[in-house]
Amino acid sequence: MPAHATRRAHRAAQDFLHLPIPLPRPLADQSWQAITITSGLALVGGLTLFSVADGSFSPWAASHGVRFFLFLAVAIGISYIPVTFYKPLVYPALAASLLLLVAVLLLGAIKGGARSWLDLGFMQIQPSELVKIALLGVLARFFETVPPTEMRSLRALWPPIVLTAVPFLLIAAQPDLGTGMLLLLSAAISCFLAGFPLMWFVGAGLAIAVSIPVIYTFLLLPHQQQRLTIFLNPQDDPLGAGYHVSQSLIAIGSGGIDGKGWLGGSQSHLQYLPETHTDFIFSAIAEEWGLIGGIVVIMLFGLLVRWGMKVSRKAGGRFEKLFAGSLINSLYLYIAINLMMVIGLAPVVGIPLPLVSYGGSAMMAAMLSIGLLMGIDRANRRSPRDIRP
Amino acid sequence: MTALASGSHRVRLASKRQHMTLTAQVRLVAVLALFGIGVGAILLRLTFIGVFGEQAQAATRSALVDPGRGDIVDRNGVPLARTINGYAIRVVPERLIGDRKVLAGKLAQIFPDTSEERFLKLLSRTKPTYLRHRAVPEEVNRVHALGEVGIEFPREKERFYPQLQLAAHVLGYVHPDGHGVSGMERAMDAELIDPKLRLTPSALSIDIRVQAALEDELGRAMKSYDAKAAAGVVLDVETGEVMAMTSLPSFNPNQFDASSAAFEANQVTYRFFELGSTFKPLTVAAAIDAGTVTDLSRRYDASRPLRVGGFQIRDSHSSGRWLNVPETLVHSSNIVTAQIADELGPERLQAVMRKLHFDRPAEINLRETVKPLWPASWGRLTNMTVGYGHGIAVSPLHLASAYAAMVNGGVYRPATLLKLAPRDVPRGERVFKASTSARMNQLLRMIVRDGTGRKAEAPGFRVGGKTGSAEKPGAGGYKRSSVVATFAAVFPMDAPRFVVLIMIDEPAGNQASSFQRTAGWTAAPVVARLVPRIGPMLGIIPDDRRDVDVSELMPLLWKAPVKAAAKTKSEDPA
Repeated sequence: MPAHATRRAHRAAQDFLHLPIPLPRPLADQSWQAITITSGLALVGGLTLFSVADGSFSPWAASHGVRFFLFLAVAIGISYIPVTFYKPLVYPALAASLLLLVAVLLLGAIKGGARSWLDLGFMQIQPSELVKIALLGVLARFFETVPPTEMRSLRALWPPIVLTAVPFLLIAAQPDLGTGMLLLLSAAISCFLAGFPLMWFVGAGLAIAVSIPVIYTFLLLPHQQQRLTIFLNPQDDPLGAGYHVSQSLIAIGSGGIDGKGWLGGSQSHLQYLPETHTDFIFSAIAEEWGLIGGIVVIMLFGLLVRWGMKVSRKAGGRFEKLFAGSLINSLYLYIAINLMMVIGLAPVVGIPLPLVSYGGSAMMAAMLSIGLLMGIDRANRRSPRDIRP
Repeated sequence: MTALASGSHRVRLASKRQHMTLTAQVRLVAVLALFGIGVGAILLRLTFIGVFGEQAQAATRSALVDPGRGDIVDRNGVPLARTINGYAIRVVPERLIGDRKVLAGKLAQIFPDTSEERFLKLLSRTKPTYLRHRAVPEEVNRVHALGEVGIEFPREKERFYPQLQLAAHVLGYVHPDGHGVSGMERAMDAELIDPKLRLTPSALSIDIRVQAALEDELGRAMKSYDAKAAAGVVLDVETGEVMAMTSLPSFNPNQFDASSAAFEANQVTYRFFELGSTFKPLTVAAAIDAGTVTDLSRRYDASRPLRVGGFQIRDSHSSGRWLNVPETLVHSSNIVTAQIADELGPERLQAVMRKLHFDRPAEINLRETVKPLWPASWGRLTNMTVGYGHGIAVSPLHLASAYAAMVNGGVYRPATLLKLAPRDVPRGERVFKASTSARMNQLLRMIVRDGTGRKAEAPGFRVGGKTGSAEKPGAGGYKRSSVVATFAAVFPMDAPRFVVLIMIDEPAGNQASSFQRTAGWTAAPVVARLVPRIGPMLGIIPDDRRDVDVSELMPLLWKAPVKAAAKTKSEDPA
């Protein structure tokens, strides 16, 4: 590695941490910004999980913390894997994750009932999370290999569609439409970044707008229909499907501007709020820490997304640029959908809040993405492109 | 040529590649901007919920997790009225599969209070109809077991009165449309359905233990004296808080129907009576206060009926001699009270009666209040009859509030059914001087110690009070056999805390009251039984060594006639 690059990275970390004494090289060569932000978010999550368990480390807060540090270590480890090493492996990775997905489906079919996770004993993983990361990698790899002149031809269009459709159908069959739709959206943004003609997206958008009523009537199961319609009007069914959102709005509203104080949220403590430890953790945060706490959490996520975007912007290679952009976009989608769901702007689809919600699989997926981003960040620090003003 | 071509191709490719990089860059920024808009929308919405949350919350609360009407509790927090999720039973006739006649028969078996024909009629309607608005889970299970798909069991908000008929008139009941019809349910309707206020239970001034004791004693008396009705109230003289209020016969607000409607009127506030002799202490107090009676030992002629115009005022039991003021109250003499009222004059008596608010509807939170029958013209004769409680009709609550003002040092305060914090107690309006009040306390105690109120004595509780047995006006004058027997009691007399007003409407005069209808034999014993029960609950400890000092007045009572009267107790006037 070029010596000046490491020095520069060293200096950057030094500036960021405002340390008076020089840091050892390996310590300096880390994406401290990402580590700080993710730690902050995990801390908020841990505090809230402690609170919603009525001031107890069990059953959530303690394992949340342990998992975070574990996966942070894993992420830092991943960040040392050079992109050139894993770039050729993305296709096998997608194949392997798809196999896992099928395995889960079969297991579900054998054991009965919908299953979307594999039990590893110490934690459960959702193969769909792995599929998503692998798919984004494959798409980035594919677009890297497509000659620029071909980007406007249909020959460049069908492989991404097939590559996305297979996992989407498998996930939708679980049935986990929420995750499936997010996969679809992530892939679409990836294609958008890659430079497909704008008209294709406009056309697709129009086609979707037209087909939504058709899909709603003929394709969705009754409970999925209900979720969608209730989101538009939660008051219609206060004790049924609208219950979650109604209670969530009450929790957030009752928090006011400065909240009821830590451990003081009645909605979350009295179990009016459903799933406070996973999907609706943001309502508990807003109830106890008010609008201010909610904005701080959103700002932390904003900083994380900005960091990810910067990594993508500074990335040298096309693959790195696209992969980093897709990863951070996908993470953003999770955050945005969860927040919108909690405040009643989106249907309840069972998407946890990355890094804050309890749940090993979601934490793993988020930290894997962060790890890959940190790896690209490390490469950026060492590339001469960084000199550019 | 080829080289040139491939070279230009390479240049084109390179520029294309550069263009692509630029595109990716621009699109990244575009996505970022889109994200910014998304975050902006989230922040906006969040701010809206957080800042204007109160309204949003209120609106969603009422529509979503409707807690229903607010709870009502007594002064110690015991629930008096709550809103619960109950079952209703409803039929959707078009979905019925079984034979309606058979079904009606089976339903009638489960609900014996409704006839088979009635059920058949309900089942035969075309529109969905309620079979029962309220059913207990057991009944619901039995109906469910009939296996009829056309019958459903919607969960509905229901008003539940856990104390059943206790304090029914105070609480009132709620119409199915969700608004209070009577009692505090009506008076506090706005507060009880207010989205914010209803979250905290409304505390009444009632103490349900005192209420239970009052209803128990009064109900037993009503039954044993074979009376038509009865009413009672226990009032805190210092604050105006009503500790208990009842009107018998009562009803069960959980099942308000046509039969309960007959008893719906609250006799304490919504009916007026000529309360008779219980007015005499008020007249005497007014006279002492005005200075027309300065010497309690002064004697007035009670040896013969008093003629005023063409009208004769007589005592129900003539003592046949001249009586001083304490003796007048102790023996309840109409003749002397009329003379005292006459000396006081119409203006001054009327002024006191107005200060006691006898000229306007009873002051209490209830909406069911009656305007007293105030004399149209207050001439000399009216003045004299009002003096002993005739020619004016007020509600029992009017009298209780007046007694409270007379014994608490002379300050009138409106009665209230809401629990008052010490700072919320009204300052009140002065009616009597404190010295007058102290004098009246002695006199009231003497009536119970040695007069018509002897049967109200409860050892250690220093009860004072006055009987009143007014004949009810009927067609062609007063009817001797229909009497409203009242006892207005106060305890403990050395430091008055509570007024207890007992009213028994038309006691039959049977063996239970030694064939007497007068208050001394009917209403007074209720006080004697009630006060020892409620005293300890209200913080009054029985104490034989304490009492109001009446030693200076006792010599004024001429003992011999009292002893003679003791032999002929059956003729106690009231």
